[in-house]
Order: sequence, then structure tokens, then C-alpha cells
Amino acid sequence: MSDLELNGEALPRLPLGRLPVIDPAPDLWPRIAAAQQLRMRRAQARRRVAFAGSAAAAVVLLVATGIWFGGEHGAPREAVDWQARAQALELQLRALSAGRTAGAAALLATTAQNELVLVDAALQAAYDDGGDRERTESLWKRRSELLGALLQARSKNVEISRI
Amino acid sequence: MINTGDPASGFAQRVDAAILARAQGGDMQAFATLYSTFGRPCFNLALRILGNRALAEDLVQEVFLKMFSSIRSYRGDAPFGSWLKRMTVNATIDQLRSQRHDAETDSDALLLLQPVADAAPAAVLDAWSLLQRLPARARAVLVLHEYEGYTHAELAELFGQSESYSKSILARALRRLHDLIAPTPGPAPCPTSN
Repeated sequence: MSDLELNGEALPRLPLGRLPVIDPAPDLWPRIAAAQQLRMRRAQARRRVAFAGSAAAAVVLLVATGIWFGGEHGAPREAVDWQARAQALELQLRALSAGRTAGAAALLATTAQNELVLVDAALQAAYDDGGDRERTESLWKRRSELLGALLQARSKNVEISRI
Repeated sequence: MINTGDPASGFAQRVDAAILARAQGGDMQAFATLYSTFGRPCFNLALRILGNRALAEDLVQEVFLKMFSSIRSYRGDAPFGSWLKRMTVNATIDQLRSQRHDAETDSDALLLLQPVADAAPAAVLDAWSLLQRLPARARAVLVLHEYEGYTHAELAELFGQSESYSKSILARALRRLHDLIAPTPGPAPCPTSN
């Protein structure tokens, strides 16, 4: 059957003209934009609620995990980044003037510096052997302690020299 | 099919890739540009099929909101205007399906049409007023086939019917319109005798 045939009967084409082009109401776009912005705000609110819910769930999970491990294995491990701490102390030490130390402070500084050399060598060896985490962590911790002592000794020297 | 005018003024208009990218990122200004480009063709297509200005405006709003939320899925396989036109046609068909007066789609309803008193058969007809005399579904089939270039296979898919269904609706609509505009035979001239 052709487009213009029904039950074998041919239909003549109609001289239909072009249809008029009509403009929509001028307030149609403001309506659509307002509806879209409302939807976007609602979506944002939903995302915020979902994020807050996830964050709350994560906090609850962390607390529960801490309680669980605390109960099973005693106090949670101290989470200190000894490497970062050692580096920070070293920077503080460099910031102080490298003046001479005297008395007990000088002895402490010398002892600490000597041990620092040993610790640095041990650290290098630990990393050369594959960098076992426990071993390097204890060495970084010791390095931090030595740097702390050295910093204290230098600080005293500064105070003394200022006096 | 009837030539509906300059393709650069309807759904065939090109869209700048940068505008599309911005719209895909949720930029309202880019959405406004898309509306200024396609709002009118979208409204006119809806109006021609639905035959009601308020319904057509509601449909344009629905289509644009849907487009805003799904524009990220537009991959550029077809021109953007074609993608939007398809969305508009689908929305109008859904609207027709949801209308109560779907009963009018019964082809017998075509027989209830009133003749056009002031039709001028030789002239280009006032297509708009004629279309308004058709039931919604017949009008949709006629507009999509005659003005928008849809094939019967595509119409069958849109309406969820067979091809013969859309052919039948179209043929009945055209025949009815033809009957409406055909010149009614006037009274036979009386012979005069001197």
C-alpha cells in the first residue's frame, strides 16, 4: 500500500501549505530556568545529606574499629610519623645559630651528634637492606629524639649567650 | 512531504561544541543558549501535534528539563537538534497516550469532523486550521509524516503499532481533509428562456 492509498483507493495530495511558526510565551524560559535551578538545588541538598551520612558512617566505623582493636589488642598504636618529625626538628635546628655550646649542654650536644652519625648510618643500612618498616621507624624515632635533645641544647646556649 | 522552511531555523540548527560542553557541565547560560536555539522549533512541533498552547508549553518545559538532566549522555552520534527532536516527539506521543480523549483515535471519530465552510480548494490551504479539525493522534501522524518526514516504519515504532496502523490513520486523515475542502456542488443553474 502506498502512503496515499487506502483499500486500493488512491488519495489525492492535499495542497497543504506551510504551518505558521509561533513563538512560545516569553516567560517560558524563566519558568524552565527556575524549575532547573530548583532541581539543581535539590540535587545539591541530596548530595550534602548523602555526604554527611557517609561521613557520619565513616566516623562511626572508625570509632567502632578503634574500640574493637583497642579491646582485642590493648591500646592502639601511637601513630607518629617519626620521619617527618625528625625532618621538622632538623629544620628548626638549622634555623638556630650554630654558636658554641658550653658546659653540660656542650657535652649533651656532642653525645647527641655522635649518636646521630651512627643512627644515620644505621638508617642507610636499613634502607639498603630493603627498608624494613619496623626497623626504619625505630631509627627515625631515635633520630627525632636525638635532634630534640640537640635542639634543646642549642636553645639553652642561645639563651645563655643572650643573657 | 511538505517543505517546512529554512532548515537553519529549526531542529537542523548547528550547536557550538563549546556550548554543548558547557551545558554538559551544568552551565545555566549554556542551557539558555540551547533554549534560544531550539525552544521555538520544540514548541511548534509540540503545538502542531497537541493542538493546545498550554499543553505545548508544558511539554517544552518537560523536554528541556529532561534534556538538561540527560545531556551528559549525548555523545554526538547524531546532530544535537535531531537528538532533541526525537526527545520532543517521544514526549508528545507519551502525552497523547496519557490524554483521556485517546478514544478519539478510533478512526470512526474522524467522521465527526465538521466541514470547513470557507475552504478554498484551489489555494494553499490554511493547514493550521485544518489540522485543528483532526483528532490528536491523526494530527500527530499527519504532522510527523507530512511535515517532519517520518516514515511509516518510524511512526509504527513511535506509536507501538504496526505500519499498516499509521498508514491507515494517515490515509483516513488525508481523505477526510480532502472531503472537507472539496467544493460542494452548488445548485444546478436554471436554464433561462427568452
